[in-house]
Amino acid sequence: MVSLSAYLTVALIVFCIGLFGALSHKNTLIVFLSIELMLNAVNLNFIAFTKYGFFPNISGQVIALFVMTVAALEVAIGLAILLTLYRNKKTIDLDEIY
Amino acid sequence: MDFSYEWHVMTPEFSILMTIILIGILDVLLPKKIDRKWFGWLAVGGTFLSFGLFLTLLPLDRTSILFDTFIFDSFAKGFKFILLFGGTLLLLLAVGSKKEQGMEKYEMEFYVLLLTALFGGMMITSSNDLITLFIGLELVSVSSYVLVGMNKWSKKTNRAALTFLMNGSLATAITLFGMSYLYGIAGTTQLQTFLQHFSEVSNPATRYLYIIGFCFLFIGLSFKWTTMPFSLWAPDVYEGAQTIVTAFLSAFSKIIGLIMFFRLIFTVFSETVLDQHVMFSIFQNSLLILALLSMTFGNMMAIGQRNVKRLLAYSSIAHGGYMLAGIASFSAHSMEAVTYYFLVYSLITIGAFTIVSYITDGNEADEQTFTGLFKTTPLLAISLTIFFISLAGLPPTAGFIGKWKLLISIIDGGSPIHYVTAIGMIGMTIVSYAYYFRIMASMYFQYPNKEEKFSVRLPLVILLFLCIAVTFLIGLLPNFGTPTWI
Repeated sequence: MVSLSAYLTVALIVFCIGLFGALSHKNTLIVFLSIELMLNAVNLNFIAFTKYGFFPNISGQVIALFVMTVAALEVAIGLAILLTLYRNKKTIDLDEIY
Repeated sequence: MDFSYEWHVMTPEFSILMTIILIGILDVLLPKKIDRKWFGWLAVGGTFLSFGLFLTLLPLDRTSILFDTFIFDSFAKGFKFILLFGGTLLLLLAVGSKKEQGMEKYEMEFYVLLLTALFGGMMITSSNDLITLFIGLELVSVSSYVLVGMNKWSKKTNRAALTFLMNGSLATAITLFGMSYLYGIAGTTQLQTFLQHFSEVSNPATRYLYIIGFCFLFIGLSFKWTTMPFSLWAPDVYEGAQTIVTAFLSAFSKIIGLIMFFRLIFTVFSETVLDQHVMFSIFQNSLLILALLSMTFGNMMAIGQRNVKRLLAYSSIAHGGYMLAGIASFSAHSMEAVTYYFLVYSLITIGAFTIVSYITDGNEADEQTFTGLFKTTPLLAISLTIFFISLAGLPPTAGFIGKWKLLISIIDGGSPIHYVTAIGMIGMTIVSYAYYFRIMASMYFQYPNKEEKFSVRLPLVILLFLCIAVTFLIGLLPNFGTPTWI
């Protein structure tokens, strides 16, 4: 059996990779991808706690479903905004939009 | 288990939702050539209906439906009142002000998004569950991303929307990460059960996990109310968005974030769990230090700004600091003080942005446009003076009483860091006079660049009258109509 702390460590590592990517990359699409990575780390946490938490119950998995929906929503809006920016500026590089 | 749901406590939310759907359907069904201008009045009507239904619910005691996920208690009553009042004022502002170039086509989208944000905010005030809190927060955030980026022809707006969206989704991810730890310890999403479960867990290591989870939650949420760790997006976004949207972000979205934090802090993070724990005082002190930093940063940066929208953005960071200090003082008065300040702050911010939108008319909000305003339109100049005096916190207005109440609640905290914060708040208030009075001086004592009369528009006159009347009423008689239902 894999212990709870192993899941939490993996989630934390994935979250940190995502945060690093979101803060360091210049390409907007990569930034969006990194934010998705962070949200997936959150899902991993919720699901691990659902099974191995102090009070195991199902509502963590419900939140995970909501998080996925909201992640898709944010990316949809993000791509729409990116498209309007690209029409005006012809670039998606974060250094060049200013 | 009780299955008889008392659905009537949700009628204010339902009426907002019905207005959203009605506007959406009407826009699809009506022929293209019919003017959509009156959609704004429809939205105002919807909020009035919601307000009326809300007033009929006031005598109710604490009621909960949907397995305790939606509660209607005194907290919800107080903040729903502020949100509905602010939302109505914002809609009046949107109806009355001139839209930017090319925005006339998007009447339906604009009102639907604004009402969706109002709906999300009202859900947050009543929700008693992490899932509904999170969904309410996302309703507000996502509709504000679109609202900021609506003017898609302007490069400045595109940039503002992208900055806002990226900061916002990063903040959402961080908030959720904090929530996941809290859920892990408590094993429930119900806020009331949280405390009970926390006290049952005996493992001391969970206390640290609890604090870490809370820190993540705080950092993520501070994006919404623009205090220190996550405040640098504000000036760019406030400048790039339309003035109405800026008013929405500064008065409405900010207060919703603070309400959510307030709800969490008083149900989940109440002192009973962590009272004697050393981590609690560290946590409280760090909140106060962050509040102090935001006040200093906001006020110092505002002095150098020549663009009035940027100036108000920095001033809004500073006000976020004041309100955060009031919440973080955790004293007996903080609930009353913060509620009062929310009401006052949303009123005067909407009022100030109304005049900015009136005068700039969709152009750049440079300080030059305000010179000699008293000579051309004295009424606007006097109203703006009242709002600025109230923002600065000077006596005859509600801003003074609000700041005074906050100070009392901070000093009541009683530890050295509380006194330092209180002194810092007084000092920073004096610093803030520098920029408010600079604009006032140029309005009264300089000659206008061009002779220009501003036309009077009815919704804006109603709005300004409401804002000024309430500012003076609760400024001179602070206990006037002190709600017996809170």
